Amino acid sequence: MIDGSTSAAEIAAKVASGAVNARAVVDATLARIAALNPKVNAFTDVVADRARQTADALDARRARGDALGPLAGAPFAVKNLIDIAGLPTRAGSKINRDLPPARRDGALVRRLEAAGAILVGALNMGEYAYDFTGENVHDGPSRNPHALDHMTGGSSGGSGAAVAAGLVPLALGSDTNGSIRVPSAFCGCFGLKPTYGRLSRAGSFPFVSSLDHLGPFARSVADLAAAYDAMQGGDPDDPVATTRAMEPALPDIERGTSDLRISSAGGYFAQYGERDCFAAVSKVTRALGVTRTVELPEGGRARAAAYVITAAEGAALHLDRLRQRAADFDPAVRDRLIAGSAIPASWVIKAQRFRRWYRERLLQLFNEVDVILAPATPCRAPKIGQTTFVLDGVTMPVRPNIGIFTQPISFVGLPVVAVPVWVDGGLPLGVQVIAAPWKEAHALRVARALEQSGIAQARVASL
Amino acid sequence: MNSEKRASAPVADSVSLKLQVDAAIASARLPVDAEWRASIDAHFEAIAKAAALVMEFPLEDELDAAPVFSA
Repeated sequence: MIDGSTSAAEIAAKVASGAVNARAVVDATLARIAALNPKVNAFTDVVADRARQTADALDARRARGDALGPLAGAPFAVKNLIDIAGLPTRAGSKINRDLPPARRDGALVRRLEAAGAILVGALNMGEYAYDFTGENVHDGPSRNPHALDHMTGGSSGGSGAAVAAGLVPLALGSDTNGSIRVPSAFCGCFGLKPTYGRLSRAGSFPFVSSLDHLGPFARSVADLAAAYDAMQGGDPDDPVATTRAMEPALPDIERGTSDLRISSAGGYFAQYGERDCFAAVSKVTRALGVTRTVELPEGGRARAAAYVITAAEGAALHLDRLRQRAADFDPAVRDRLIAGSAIPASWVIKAQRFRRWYRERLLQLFNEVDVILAPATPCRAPKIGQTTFVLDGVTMPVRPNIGIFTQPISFVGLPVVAVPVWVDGGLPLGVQVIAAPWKEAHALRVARALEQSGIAQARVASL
Repeated sequence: MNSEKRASAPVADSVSLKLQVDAAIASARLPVDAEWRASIDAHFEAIAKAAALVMEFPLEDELDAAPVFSA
């Protein structure tokens, strides 16, 4: 029996044993998408024929006695900024729909399919990834499966919605300033933003190359780690992709946390949020027996520097499109990009130099601790269309401020697992489990310990 | 040479910021509808406030941005 709560690992085990065939998995997945996607608006494209063909080929391989990959038969979907052969890579925009169809799948799609996973479609996102809400004026907002009138978070909103709705066990998103961690928190799933350069970005539409990462969403830590492991490896097509050897994380996730020095983040990361966000962090720290707090220096300034770099690089990327098709942008994105075009070079260069300073301070912290815990967002998912919220008594615009806790971390490329935490009967919250560069396995081990103890839990929404 | 001192980086007044946006729009030949300007100017003001936080922070002259960034 395959349903919306079945994990990728369970599917792969059943397909490998012959208890179920991949075609049946795909048919069930497509039926669930057809039934539920109209409610959550997670998918913008469903590649049904391709998925059935891939499944049939997998079943034929099994019939021949060939070895199947670790994700055999597991359906997945990708944020629509990742290339899918035969589709224009729209990146949430109207403009990119006029591009010729991609000739080849993105690197991570190829790697997941090489591990046996089956692509079923492309997912809704905020236009050109300049978004924390999951809203999209062209495709409509993705909707939070746990409360359909609330945001999914962005910009990988469709990825969070698809996983939380049980449409797929795995999805891919991108994270420049928080776009994997925010929808993971709002939708209540696990998300991994790996170390900058760990996973290839080749075959994806960029936003801010200095800060862009790709990574997986899942409902279990084992699935998250399995997908991450399947996607590791250098790639000459991405100039920042690491040449480090692969470091599989899945074999270690059950190792526990007793040898890890875990701390919570104080200062900037303990203010400007709603009380429940800090309650979620406290729930995690209590469960892990964490008593120490460390201060990440200049968190607010790091966020400011990321904000400047994002606006400038985003504007530079889109300048021709702004000149030629300004009226076809989402106005909220267009106006920020035009503003970004006025940024003087001295601001960006200073922000990049500050990034070096901040990175060195954070690396020093990791001499003393292995893992740092911080809230993922300053609030639960706001309502769709909500434009302001009140943080620490100050009314702020929602769109740029959802990422106040995620931006200072991705700014220096640290690996983070966002874990879903439920503190009451309301919507979920997220906690960032932050590790030192290249130590994704540490964050995944902590996430697994929290999952095992029931503190972190990804629930399939009742729809 | 060490120049680690508190730099002065005042946030420009809103008139100056608008002039900066005017110049950018003109030099890039961006077709901007008059109705968009208030929103664009508000965004640029927010960016300028963020930049001021960065610009006032003292850094040694020798501190380069790492050309290859791998965390």
